[in-house]
Amino acid sequence: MSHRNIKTDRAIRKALDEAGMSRRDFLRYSGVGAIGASAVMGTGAMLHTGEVQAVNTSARIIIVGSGAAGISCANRLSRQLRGADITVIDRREEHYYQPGLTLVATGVWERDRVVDRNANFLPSGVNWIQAMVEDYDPDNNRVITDEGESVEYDYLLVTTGLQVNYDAYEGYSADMIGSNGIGCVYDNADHAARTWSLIDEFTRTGGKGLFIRPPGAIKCAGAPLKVTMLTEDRLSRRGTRDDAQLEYYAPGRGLFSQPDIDEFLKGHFPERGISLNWDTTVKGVDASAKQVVFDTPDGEHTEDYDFLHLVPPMSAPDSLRQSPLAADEDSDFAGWLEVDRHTMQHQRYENVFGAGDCVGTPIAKTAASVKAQVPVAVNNLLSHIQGQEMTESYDGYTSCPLITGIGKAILVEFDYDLDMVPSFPFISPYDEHWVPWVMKDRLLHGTYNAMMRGRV
Amino acid sequence: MAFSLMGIISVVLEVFRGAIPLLLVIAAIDLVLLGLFFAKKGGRTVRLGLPVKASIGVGVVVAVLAFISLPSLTNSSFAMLSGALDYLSLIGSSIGFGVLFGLLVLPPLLLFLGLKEANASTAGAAAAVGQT
Repeated sequence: MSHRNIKTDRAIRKALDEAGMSRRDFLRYSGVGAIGASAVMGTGAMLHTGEVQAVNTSARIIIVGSGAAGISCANRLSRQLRGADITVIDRREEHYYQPGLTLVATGVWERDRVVDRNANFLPSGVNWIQAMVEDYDPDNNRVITDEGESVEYDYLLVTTGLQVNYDAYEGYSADMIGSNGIGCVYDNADHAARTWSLIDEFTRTGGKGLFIRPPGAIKCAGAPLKVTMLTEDRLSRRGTRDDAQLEYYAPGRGLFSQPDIDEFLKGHFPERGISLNWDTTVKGVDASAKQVVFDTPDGEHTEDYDFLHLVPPMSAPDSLRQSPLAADEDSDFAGWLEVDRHTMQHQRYENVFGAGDCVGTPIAKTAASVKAQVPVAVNNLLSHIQGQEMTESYDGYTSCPLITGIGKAILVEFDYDLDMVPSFPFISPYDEHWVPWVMKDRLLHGTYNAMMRGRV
Repeated sequence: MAFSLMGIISVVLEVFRGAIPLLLVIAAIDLVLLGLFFAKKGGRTVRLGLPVKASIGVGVVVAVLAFISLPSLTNSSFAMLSGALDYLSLIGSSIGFGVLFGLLVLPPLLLFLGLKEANASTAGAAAAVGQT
C-alpha cells in the first residue's frame, strides 16, 4: 500500500471514529468522512484556476443539480466546449449561499444576503430543465425526470448535493424549525433565519441549550460547532452567560477530523463552559414537552431543553442513493456517488463524473471542496471527450473559517491526509484572528460567486 | 493551493459587484474633472502644492478613520485583533483606503485649487511696472 493510501485510510478511520461509528454503522448510515469538512470555503481554494483550451464536440452533457457545483460546472463547460449540448436539470429557482447560513442563524447577517436566483448564474446557451431527476439509467445513458421526461446523454455530471433526513429522528420534521425551541442552520435561508429568532430569544432569557452533531457525513461539518460557539458568544455579550447551560452532543469521541483543531476544540469548549457529551445520538424529540431522547452507551436518556440545535443525519438524495450510480453496501461510501476520489470519475461508468456534496469521498462536503473538485471533474471530462489521459487530481482539499466568536476565526485548510495546507503561509491555521473573519464576512461570498461563474 | 491573477481579479470584481456602477460614475467624474483641469491649464500657472497637500490630508484623515472603524465595519472589534497579522492587515488596508480616497479627490482639488488666474497675475505685473 502506498504512503498516500495509508494516509487516506487514516483519514477514513478518523472520520469513522469521530462520527462514533463502526464500519457497520457507517454503512448503515450510508455516510462517510466529511467530519472535518467546514462551513465555508477558503479563499485560497477559490483563487485557483486551471482551464484548458476550448474543445469542439457535439456531445450531449447533462448536469444534474443546480447548486454551487452544478452551476460552476455549467459555466466552465459552456466556456470550454464548442458545439456541445449542455443541459442542467433541477427545479430549484432560488440559490442559497449556504456558507453564509451560520451567519444568518446567529444574527450577523440578514436572511436576504444569502438568497439569489439560479438564473443569475446559469450561462446562456445552456438548456435548463426545471424538474428533478427521479431515475438514473446509466446502462442506457439516460435519466428520467419526475415529470416523466427521459433525457439521454453522452456524459453525465452528478452534482445533486445531499438531502437532510429530518425523519431520521422520531417526531422531527423540517416545519418544526423555529418553534418549540428547535433550530437547525441547514438546508435553506428560512431555517437559518428562524433559528436566529430562537437563539436571539434564548440569549436574552438563558436556559438550557443543547447542540447536536448527527452521525455520518454532513455538509459544512463545522456549522454545529460554530452555532454553539456563536451562541455562547451572544450570551456573553448580553450578560446572560451565567443564566445559560450549554451542552454539545457528539456521536463519537471527536469534534473535528483535523487532529490539531480537534485537540484545540476539546480544550476550548470546556474553557467556555460548554459541556461535551460523547457517544450520544438523538433518537427522537418531543417538541411540545421540549424534551429530546438520546441513545447513549448506557441506554436511553431524556433531556429537557430550552433551545435545541437539532441537526439531522444527511445522505445523498434518495434518487441517487437508490440508483446504480451509488456505491454499494460494501463500500465505505455506501449510498454516495461512487467516484474515484482523485479523478472525480465514476468508478464503473466512465462517462459519469461527479462533484460536490453527493460524491463519496472521505472528507470534503464544503463549498471550498466544490471549488477544488469542479475543475478536476470538468477538465477530466474534457480529456475523456478528447480521448486523452485524465491528468487532473483532487487531493481532498477542504477549508473552514472556524468562527470561534463574532469577529474572529481560525482559517483551517486540510486535505485527505488531514495535513494542514494553508493557502496563505502568513495566516496560521492554529490561531484565532480577525483576518479570517473578514474573509468570511466580506470576501468569501464574492469568491463563491466567482466560482459559480467558473472564473476561479 | 495555487491562485492566479485572473482569479484574484474575478474575485475582486465579484466582491465589489454591487458598488461597481457607483465606482464607475466616480471614476468618470474624476476623469472629466482631470480633463477640465488640463483644458483650462492653458497658459495659466499651475500650483500643485496646495491640491496635493490637501489630497494627502484627505488621504490621512480617511486612513485614520478607516483604522478606527474597519473592525466595527466588519462586525468585529479591536478586542478581536490579535498579533502582527491582524494589525498589519488593518494598517495596510487603512493605508489603502487613504491612498484611494486621496487619489479620488485629487482631480477636483487640482481643478479648483491648482490653477492661478492668468488675468490677475498679468494685471498685478502691469501695476508693478507702472509703479516703477
